[in-house]
Amino acid sequence: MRCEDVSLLLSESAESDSSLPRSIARHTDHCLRCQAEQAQYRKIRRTMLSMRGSHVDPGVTMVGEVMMLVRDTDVVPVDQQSGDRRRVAYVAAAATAATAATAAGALVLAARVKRPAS
Amino acid sequence: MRRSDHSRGRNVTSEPDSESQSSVEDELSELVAQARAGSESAFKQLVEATYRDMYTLAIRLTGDEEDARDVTQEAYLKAHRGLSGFRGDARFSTWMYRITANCAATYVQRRSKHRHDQLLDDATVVETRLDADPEHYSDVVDLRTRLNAAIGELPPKLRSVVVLRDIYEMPHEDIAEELGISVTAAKVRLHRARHRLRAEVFPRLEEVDSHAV
Repeated sequence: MRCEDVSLLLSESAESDSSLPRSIARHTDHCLRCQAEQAQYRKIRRTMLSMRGSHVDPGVTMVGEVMMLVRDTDVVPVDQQSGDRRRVAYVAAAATAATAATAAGALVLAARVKRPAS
Repeated sequence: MRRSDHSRGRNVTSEPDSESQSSVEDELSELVAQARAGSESAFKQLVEATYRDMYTLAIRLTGDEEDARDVTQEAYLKAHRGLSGFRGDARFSTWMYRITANCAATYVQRRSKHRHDQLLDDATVVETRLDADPEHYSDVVDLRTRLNAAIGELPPKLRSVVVLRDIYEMPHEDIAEELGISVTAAKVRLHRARHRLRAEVFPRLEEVDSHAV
């Protein structure tokens, strides 16, 4: 058996103290390289677990930022906001055009009514 | 490029010991119940109790302080909206870890691929607890520093799996679900990540040929 063949199991064995399968253990018992590799995986695992005890403080403003976001029930993603803005612009333009057309029509009608019959 | 902001008073602290941990979780459960009933004050207390942990996870996954802030905020927004669906069969912090991991994965995927990922330098996350043996403490700090640097060098896909599994002890199934991959893929990525970390942190063994005695 080659060292490469047991590498995956050595990596997995870092998670627990459970013994390796017999065939693998037979190799590692006589292979200093694999023993060292297994010890290193376990050391890395232990160190990483201990990292959980440390944390970075982003500052107290974080709580306020979160609560502001939560309170704002109308909060929408930026992409959607820009889409909404475009929709509003289209509706406004259409409404303006409709108003202008109505006004123009009213003026034409008014002009016809006021024109004296010849 | 990683940005740093010291003006926000960022500093590094360590968690309370395990004895007080369970009572903290009991308090959180009570707060969750109140928040589910509509108490904004209770939700704020939940945020206050957990935001450092969630931000730390986010910064470990995104590698960027500003991105981590966005991810953390998004995670709490999702949590607030999903509180009614939280059945309480898991700890609130565990539930929040999953949401944060999911938000971070989505964020990293969205992020421009041209942007350089750089995680955790020595000053970002370090253990502040003192050890009785200075030599041992020095070794631990040295290893942690090298590990942080090595984690930062991992591609985001590998980094997220190894961080969630080896730091936060998240089950393979949960990792797979939150990252949107199969359990097998999660395990394969985990092995690749561990292999890379070991090669980076202990490079000498890689150069040594196999020896049998």
